[in-house]
Amino acid sequence: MSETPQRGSVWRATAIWAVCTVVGIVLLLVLGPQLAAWHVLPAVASDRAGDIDQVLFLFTLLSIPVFALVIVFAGYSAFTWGSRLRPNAHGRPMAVSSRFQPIWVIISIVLVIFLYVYGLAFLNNVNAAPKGDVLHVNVTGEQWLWDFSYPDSNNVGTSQLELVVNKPVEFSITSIDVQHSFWIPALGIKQDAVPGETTHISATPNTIGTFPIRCAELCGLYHAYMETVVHVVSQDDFNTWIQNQEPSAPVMTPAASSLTPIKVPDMAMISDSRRAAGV
Amino acid sequence: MALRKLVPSYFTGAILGAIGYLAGNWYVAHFIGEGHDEAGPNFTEQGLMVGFALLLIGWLIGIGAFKYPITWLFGAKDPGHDEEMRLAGKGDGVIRYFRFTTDHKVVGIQYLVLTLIMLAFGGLGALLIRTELITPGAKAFPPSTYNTVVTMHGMLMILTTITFFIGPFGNFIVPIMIGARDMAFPRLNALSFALLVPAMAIFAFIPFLGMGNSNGTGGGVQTGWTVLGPITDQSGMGATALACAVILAGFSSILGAVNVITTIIAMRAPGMRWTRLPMTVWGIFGAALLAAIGTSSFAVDLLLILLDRLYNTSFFYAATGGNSVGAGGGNAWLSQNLFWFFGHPEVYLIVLPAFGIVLDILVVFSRKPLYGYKMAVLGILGVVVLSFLVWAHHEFTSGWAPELRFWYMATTEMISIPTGFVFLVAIGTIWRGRIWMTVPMLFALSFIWNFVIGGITGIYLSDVPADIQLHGGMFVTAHFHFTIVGGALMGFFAAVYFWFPKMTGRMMDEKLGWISFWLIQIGFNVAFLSMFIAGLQGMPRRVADYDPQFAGPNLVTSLFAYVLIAGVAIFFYNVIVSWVAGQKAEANPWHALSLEWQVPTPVPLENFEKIPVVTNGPYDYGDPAEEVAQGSAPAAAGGQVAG
Repeated sequence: MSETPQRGSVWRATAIWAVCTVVGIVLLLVLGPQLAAWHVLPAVASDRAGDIDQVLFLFTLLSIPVFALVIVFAGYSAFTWGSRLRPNAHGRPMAVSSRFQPIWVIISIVLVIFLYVYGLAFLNNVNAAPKGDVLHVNVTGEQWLWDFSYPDSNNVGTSQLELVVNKPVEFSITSIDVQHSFWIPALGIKQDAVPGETTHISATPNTIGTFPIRCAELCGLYHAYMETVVHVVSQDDFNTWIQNQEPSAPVMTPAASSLTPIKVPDMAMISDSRRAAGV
Repeated sequence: MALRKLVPSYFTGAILGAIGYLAGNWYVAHFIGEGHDEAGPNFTEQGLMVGFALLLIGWLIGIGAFKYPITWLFGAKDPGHDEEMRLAGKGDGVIRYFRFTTDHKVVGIQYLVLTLIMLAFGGLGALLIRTELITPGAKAFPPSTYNTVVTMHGMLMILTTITFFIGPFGNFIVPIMIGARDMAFPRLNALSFALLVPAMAIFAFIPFLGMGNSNGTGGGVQTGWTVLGPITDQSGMGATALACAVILAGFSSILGAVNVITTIIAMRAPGMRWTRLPMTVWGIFGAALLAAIGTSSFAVDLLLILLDRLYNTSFFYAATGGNSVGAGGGNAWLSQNLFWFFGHPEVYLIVLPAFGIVLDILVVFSRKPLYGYKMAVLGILGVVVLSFLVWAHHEFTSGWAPELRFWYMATTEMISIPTGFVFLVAIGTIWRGRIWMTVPMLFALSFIWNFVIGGITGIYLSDVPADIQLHGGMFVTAHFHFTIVGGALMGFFAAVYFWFPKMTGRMMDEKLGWISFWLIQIGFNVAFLSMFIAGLQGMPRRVADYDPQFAGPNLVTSLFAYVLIAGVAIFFYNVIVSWVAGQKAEANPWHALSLEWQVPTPVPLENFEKIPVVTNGPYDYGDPAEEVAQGSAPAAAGGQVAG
């Protein structure tokens, strides 16, 4: 009958949780801004990528106390009351507190609603049609390369993507064989290329530079090599570049096409371009 | 005489199955393919397909699965109790594990062995993948082999994890836990296992179908386990074998699930109310509901893929030129929706039994009642309902119905609320417990650590803007490995260590258990935390080769993946050594209260001499009058039984 007194208290565990939370948040505030410089996060080169950084920051900030709560209380129990030997008594049953459970439920609901509303605000940015002077680019995925064309400039077709800094760009994306996914991490955009459908995504690049483009949907044999780079340049440079491009043949219509031999990209060429791009 | 006992058995099944496969292949090649010039290359595949069908039929005839249905059709008398006992393997010795045996405990052991073998092969796939990715450059294999290994690793592990709770523990433990003599449908039970065996045999064909082919679209299967329509239609012959194997495994899973649901609803002992069910039973019940409802959607997806591949339909092809084939008019998004309508409930189907089992183990080794029974049940049922409403969060970047994204974001974030209930119950249960640090308890505690990481990173992915960046990258891979390896697989290890004494009559070695636990937990955490960094940096999933900028995290992941695999290898060694020569176990080595520990070990045929009457819950710890710690006889352990 006699309860042996047990070490440990809820206040001590709470104090450890508070310390862990503070340390975690301080680390986030100190290290967070360095992550892009250390290449843990991709470069931020568009409005959309900036949004994503903010979302990641806020989610991490809120995760710290939640993660610490679960781990500290579970870990505290294990280390304080754990034993390799079989205990010769039972633990004292704990009444299900009529206050604590509702508090837990309400806090988790509030957190979820907060994250949801916060997410909605950014989702609105994602869904918004680009305003003002927009650069249109058609993107076509095929095994295993990306083709681009510029409908605003006589449908100039190219295997190289150039964008104008601070000018919104809207991509219209499709595929001629299987599903691909058009991903530019530095611009914070990703959109599947679906055969027979056209999908859209937009962003405004805000940094001049060269950034990788990758395929993010397993698309067969050389999926890993289906990558290229985007050059974000000034308006003048862009104008010069586009004038030197040949207008492309009219876009291939489905009826006109037939089974074509599969293009196997030259592996040596890919790795060379990868090295040259410094990615 | 000994040979007489082998007819029918799995050996005769294997022989007739092999004959069936060869006959099917030969038939198509000589009677359908011959002289039809327009036949095209897919006659080889049609032969494969017919071969698989006859393999299944030959196997089922060979193991004697048709004997009773057919004699029943011809008006034979229903088998009496003695005949049923013979079918359950009475007096058969070891041979009953190699036969179509209806005893739920035999089926449970069969499932345990098969899922362990599947897990070993899946782990071999992980080893190959991490070996390829240890440094940049596709050095170990050509990309076509790598993609096939990725596909097989993913699909095999999914089939393993959806089976490894409902199969071994749902069959062996659950009926005893609820006080039943057997499952509701013993023959259906034997059949559900008997279908998984040929499914795995067909799966084993994949690496041998066109793997040498590194031109064109590549041999093997280039699709990943998500088998999206267009790429699977286009992929090599392995995709046909994959589709057949998974459809068959899906049937096995649905039959098993229906049986588990019926058993839990209809076979509970008197007094075993819904409010007295151990959490393990609730978890497996929830998982069985998901399996019974969700699996068929995947089977439909694969069936349409087979039609596209073999018989020139065009469900998933839009005629776009390029490498696409077929008449056109199909839609790739259809395949994605059919797949994920199964695919998302499926991950909860994997992890729900782990919720229940971990909570049970926490109770037993904290010597304290479960904190908040109703909340735990509500958590599990809440996940069951919500999991069918979230599938399109896998399609945030697909371009399909972008106007619905707000809704799927809401349901996905909501699912963290019932999941949170389970964490509250877990912490409340161990708080101030008399915690006994055994190996199953270690794994159960590591579940809390791992699954909270998996859960929190899941919330990142539920947010559309963050998902646009992270989708299809290594972040997702790391996230779901935290839920499935860190959650479900840790729960499975906990369950094996916990119930091994009851299932085999021997204890698992504790020292090896501790060593393997720490290797697994540390190896797993470092490997996959590092993978999160690769994902944040922008590394896509399922790539055979990657940019040098990702070299650091990939090296760390690969090295610690080896540590993890070493830990799992020690676990396998421990299972084998302990099964053969482990220390003999008492009937109730953990001094637990639920029913399965109150029956003798080895559990007799039909489990209970007399069906128990249950008068209290499985968690009535903490009553000093029932203090049993001094090693008293299990019968007096104050368990769930009375009378």
